[in-house]
Amino acid sequence: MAILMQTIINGIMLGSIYAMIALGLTLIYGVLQIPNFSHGALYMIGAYVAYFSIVSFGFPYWVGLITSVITLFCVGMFVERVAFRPLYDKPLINAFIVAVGLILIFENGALAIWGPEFRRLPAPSSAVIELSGAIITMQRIIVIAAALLLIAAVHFFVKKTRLGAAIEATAQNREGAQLMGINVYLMGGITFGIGTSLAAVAGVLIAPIFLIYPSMGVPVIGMAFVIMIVGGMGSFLGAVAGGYLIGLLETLVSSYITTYFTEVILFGLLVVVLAIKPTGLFGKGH
Amino acid sequence: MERVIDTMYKKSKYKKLIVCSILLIIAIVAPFAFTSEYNRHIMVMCGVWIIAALGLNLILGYVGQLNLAHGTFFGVGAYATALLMQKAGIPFWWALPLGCLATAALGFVTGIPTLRTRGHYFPIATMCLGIAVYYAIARWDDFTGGACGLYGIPRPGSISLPLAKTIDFESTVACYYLVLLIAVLTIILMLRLVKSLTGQRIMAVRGNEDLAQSLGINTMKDKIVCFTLSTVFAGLAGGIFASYVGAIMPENAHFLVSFEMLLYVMIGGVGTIAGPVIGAILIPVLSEILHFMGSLRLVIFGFILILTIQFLPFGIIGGIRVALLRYPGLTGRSVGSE
Repeated sequence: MAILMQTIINGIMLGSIYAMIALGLTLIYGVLQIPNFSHGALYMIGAYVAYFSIVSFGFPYWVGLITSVITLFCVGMFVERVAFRPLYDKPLINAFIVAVGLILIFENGALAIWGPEFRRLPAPSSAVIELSGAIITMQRIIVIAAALLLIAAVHFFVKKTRLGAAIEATAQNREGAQLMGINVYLMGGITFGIGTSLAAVAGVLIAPIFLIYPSMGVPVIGMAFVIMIVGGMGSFLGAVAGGYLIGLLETLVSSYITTYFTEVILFGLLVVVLAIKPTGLFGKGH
Repeated sequence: MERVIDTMYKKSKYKKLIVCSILLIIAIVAPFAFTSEYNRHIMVMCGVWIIAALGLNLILGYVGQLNLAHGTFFGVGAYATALLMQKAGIPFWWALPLGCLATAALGFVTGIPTLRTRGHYFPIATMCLGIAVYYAIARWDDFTGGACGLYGIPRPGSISLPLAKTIDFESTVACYYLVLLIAVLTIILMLRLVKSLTGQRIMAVRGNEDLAQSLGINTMKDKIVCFTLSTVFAGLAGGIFASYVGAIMPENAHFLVSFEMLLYVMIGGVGTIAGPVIGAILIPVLSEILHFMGSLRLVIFGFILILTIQFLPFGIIGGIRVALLRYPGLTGRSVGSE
């Protein structure tokens, strides 16, 4: 029972990370129509920025988190402006390949600058809570709570603010939004910035639990795309629900079935979902 | 008018034939010009990459689908061939086609659900496939050797010719000629395929899938055939690689391999036959020259990739065509023919 409880808590925590990453990807996909393959690399950069501001400059954890979010927002806007915007009227496949080029730059850049070694970010609190036999560290509770808060905040931002409405309008109908006087290019940049800062938050939150290394984004981005397809491309609800679902499934599979082939099983799930319902569980037609 | 174009086409065809023959002769005599083992090794590797890059070009350049698991299929072919040789004791000449068959089977099974959907699903699904297969190979210790990989894979067995002469593949030069032969056959096959009816149909799919479908083309069938065929070439290159190098690791199936092949195709010129060949020679050689830079050279390649797509979407070949269009006096003919 305690093991099941522990597994579920870990699953929700992992799901929170996945939900944040998949949400960022979904926002970017909605406005720019690009599956941003370099999202995992930006998640990694976010973790490194926080690491250096916390460990090298001695900032407290929260300041490191905010520094990372602001930095990655700027990086995201810059990347959109320089790498993706020149390709708006070109075939989409070109933008996909640019995203691949960005992975090469970020991952190998991190490897060249910071080396291949694993780093651990000290947790802001070492408190531990016991819940019916399961031992839960404070950091796990922080991850779960922060993810819920952020998802709610993004939802509020998109649905209730003028800027959010403009972004949603751009996602729904680019030409229509442009006719209404919305600067769709700026919206693309802002969305990219928000998406990458969500990835940065995920990276900084998970860093005290997992480790920081240049290719840390790889397994996560694979899962995030499985989530996007399972949940339905571009669906907000699909990204969040799919994130928690896949996170729970992954921890359940690895603690009860096999630790080795989790990725393979989840990829099998993706193929099955695609074969049965190509638009995903929550997706509309395309 | 028709006749003028026809004679122009024939003229350019002869010119091309001459250029190709000269290049082939250069390729044949190359091992005598570069006698060091290191240079010859790079030449063999270029041949392997040419085969794989032409496979990627088929699905990326002609069908217009971005396959981010091409390197994975390369690795699957390498592992399948190596395992068949090591665990089942099958000789190379049987293991290689069987390895290609195994790769094709994986391509076919993953192609059916992912190619059915349009646009974005295929690159995403292939990227996920690449990650999943990489972890499967890296962790399946009993079968694939796990993170250590497989060692001591034998070279291709010697073959006896009718004139009582045997060729063994222990030397790098022999392997070079084997790879060269397969690469040339691949190039010829690709040229035939592109000119064939299937080739014309798949290019129609690339142009406008709905229109192609309305003309009665079974786009799904053509896409799957081309995708499966492209994975066969990845597997073929992988199988040769495994036997030639003698050792393989999970890194050979990593999606970074796919990215490198993508570099070859994009920088050489996607959707042409010459482009991937040029890319698969130029980039590995450049990579060897820049080897002292470590992982920084991949950063440089990343920048080159992005700049290529932004300013020269059809790579070096595209650049040459634009130059010929602008200065037609360079060759005395206009561009536009394949």
